[in-house]
Amino acid sequence: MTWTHKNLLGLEGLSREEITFILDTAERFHEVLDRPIPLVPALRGKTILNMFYEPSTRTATSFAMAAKRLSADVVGFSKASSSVKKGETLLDTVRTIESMRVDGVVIRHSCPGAARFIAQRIDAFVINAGDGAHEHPTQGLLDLSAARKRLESFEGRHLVVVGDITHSRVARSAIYGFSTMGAEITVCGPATLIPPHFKKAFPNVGIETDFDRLLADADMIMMLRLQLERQGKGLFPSIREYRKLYCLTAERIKKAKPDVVVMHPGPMNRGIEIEPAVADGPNSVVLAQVRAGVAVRMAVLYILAGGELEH
Amino acid sequence: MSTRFLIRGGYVFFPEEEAMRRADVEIAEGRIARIAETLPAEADTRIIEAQDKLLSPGLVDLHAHLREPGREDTETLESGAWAGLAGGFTTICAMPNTQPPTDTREQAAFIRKRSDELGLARILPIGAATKGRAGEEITEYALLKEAGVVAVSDDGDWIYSAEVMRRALEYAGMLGLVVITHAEEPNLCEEGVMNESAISARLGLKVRPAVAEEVAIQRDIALASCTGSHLHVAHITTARGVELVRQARAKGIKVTTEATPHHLLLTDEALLSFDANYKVNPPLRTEEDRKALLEALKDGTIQAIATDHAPHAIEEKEQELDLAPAGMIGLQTALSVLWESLVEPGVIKPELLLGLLTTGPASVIGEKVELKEEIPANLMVFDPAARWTFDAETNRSLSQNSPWFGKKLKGKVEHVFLEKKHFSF
Repeated sequence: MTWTHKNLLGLEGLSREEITFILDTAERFHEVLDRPIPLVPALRGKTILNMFYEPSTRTATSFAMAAKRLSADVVGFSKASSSVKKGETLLDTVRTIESMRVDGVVIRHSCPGAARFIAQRIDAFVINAGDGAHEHPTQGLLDLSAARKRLESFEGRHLVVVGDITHSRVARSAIYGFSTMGAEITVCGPATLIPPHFKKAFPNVGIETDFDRLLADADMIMMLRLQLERQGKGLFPSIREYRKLYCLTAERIKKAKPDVVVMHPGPMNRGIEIEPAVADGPNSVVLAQVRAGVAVRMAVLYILAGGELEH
Repeated sequence: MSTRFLIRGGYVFFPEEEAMRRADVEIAEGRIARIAETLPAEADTRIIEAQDKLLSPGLVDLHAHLREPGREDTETLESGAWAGLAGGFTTICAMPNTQPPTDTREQAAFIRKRSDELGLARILPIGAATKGRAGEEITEYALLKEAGVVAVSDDGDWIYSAEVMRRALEYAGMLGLVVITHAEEPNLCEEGVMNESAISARLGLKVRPAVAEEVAIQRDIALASCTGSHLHVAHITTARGVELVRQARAKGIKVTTEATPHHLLLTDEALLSFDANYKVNPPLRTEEDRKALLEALKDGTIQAIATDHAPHAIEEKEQELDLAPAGMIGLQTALSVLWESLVEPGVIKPELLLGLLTTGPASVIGEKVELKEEIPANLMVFDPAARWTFDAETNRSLSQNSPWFGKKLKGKVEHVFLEKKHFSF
């Protein structure tokens, strides 16, 4: 197929064909990653800039590794400071990038729309590596890629996403990605962590506050990381109550289908949203997700950069 | 220069009758000399042909942020007054959230004096309701009033303490001053950038929900009822909010309210663009809310359309939505966009729109708007068919943060007569 998008800002709006194309391309890079020297010259001479305005270890590393495996030059910075109010404006940063003439920009930022803000103002392609609570498209793609290895098709399969839906870009990208691929989705969490107008925003997505009701029917369970600082804001009363209602325990997994696929975007709060026995158990694809992350990001970089793949 | 004008053949809005009819109006020596169906042109009279155009008393804006003193890079009293004139406004009420705020007699007197010196649109200061706009102690309302303040308000912030708001209403009531409330409960709006809706659920943006406005209006109406004082709700945006005002008015509580052109014309779907020009406080709401505002214009629940003209520098606005300041400019475009989007398609009648921009706002601050012989000229001529582009060339404001910037607009103010002065645009 012919790829027509300059950027990857979200999974919203991508067609099933386009998502499949990325996932299929990622399969080929999975194979590259298995080689003794996991390196292809596809993006030789291209420069990728990683801009991380939010602390991130796994996504930043995954993108850097993906670019290097494609032989691209990778430069980057991360702004450890949680406050983006300090220092240079994003607009000035954009102008700086333009004058450095990079080919692609990977951006993680706490403000929804930040990736789009940059994409509208530069010629280089832009990959959204997470913009606030909006989208995290490569996460959605790696979730699909990891789950696809266990399920033949997503058609009619039931994905349950559990946790802080309101503040989760992972949940939003999963909703767009998995629903486009034919899955049915239910989100689950305390009423304080599900947006009030969620039903109107996503009419085809179910809402349930009682996790136990969803276990028997789920084909995939995606546990979201609980941001512990939300307790201070009164969005849930205590860790122990949260754990009681929403932790994916060994007890709960017994009530689910034997082959249910368990996902977590990481980093995990072991013992809070997921018990270690489940995280490390046979249903978990957590490590496969990490590995798929590199392959999927290679695929996205490759497609957007218009690189040549050696056969 | 001729000091005698004959404006011929225009549709004239007579505010006291809330009616429009074709008439010739003669202005001599800065006063309306004659009004008649047809008037002969005297020698030495400048004739302005106004067929198919509109002649109305100059518009009144209850709600503008003119940024002087403090942020003269984004607007001054002078540039704001020019933007107003170009938009047909001859009276502009200046909100007190300047740096320093208009919380003393001296600050208010400065604005009045500067307005007189400029001789452009008349700028009336609104005094801060509390010292430093901190929401703790009421300001010297009597002295402020003496210095020309027409209302008090902490606009930009809700007066959080119910006790302070109660005292503000009591004290202002004693002096016949209206208290203007910015009705958004802040705890419900923390760091919010848009309405809470299906759109925010999709975009993951932080919210300022409708219920924040409802809670604030409900409390303030209770306090207005208890004090018997005049409460004015600034920039109302929600269906439930206008219903609360409607019910309160039916009970005889002295509550008035205003809506902005942007809340009457735009919805939160605009945020799908992530364009910070659509970030305003209170935020753009849903289509259902917008329709409720239009109904409330028609049934008299809303008395005024006010611009909430809020200039911001380009570098401040061209940022991530979370960081960009809230507000858009509106003085120069209000009448054009309202006319084209509401009057032309027949949503509201022209005399209703003009009433909401003249007598309505004036009555909130205890003023009258008239169009009759022998009074000083305060008129504007608007051509509803004229096309123009709102851009760097035509813009009179020092800022350009408007979703209509760069757009072609229909309907243009061509002349303003203000006492002995004549401005043409």
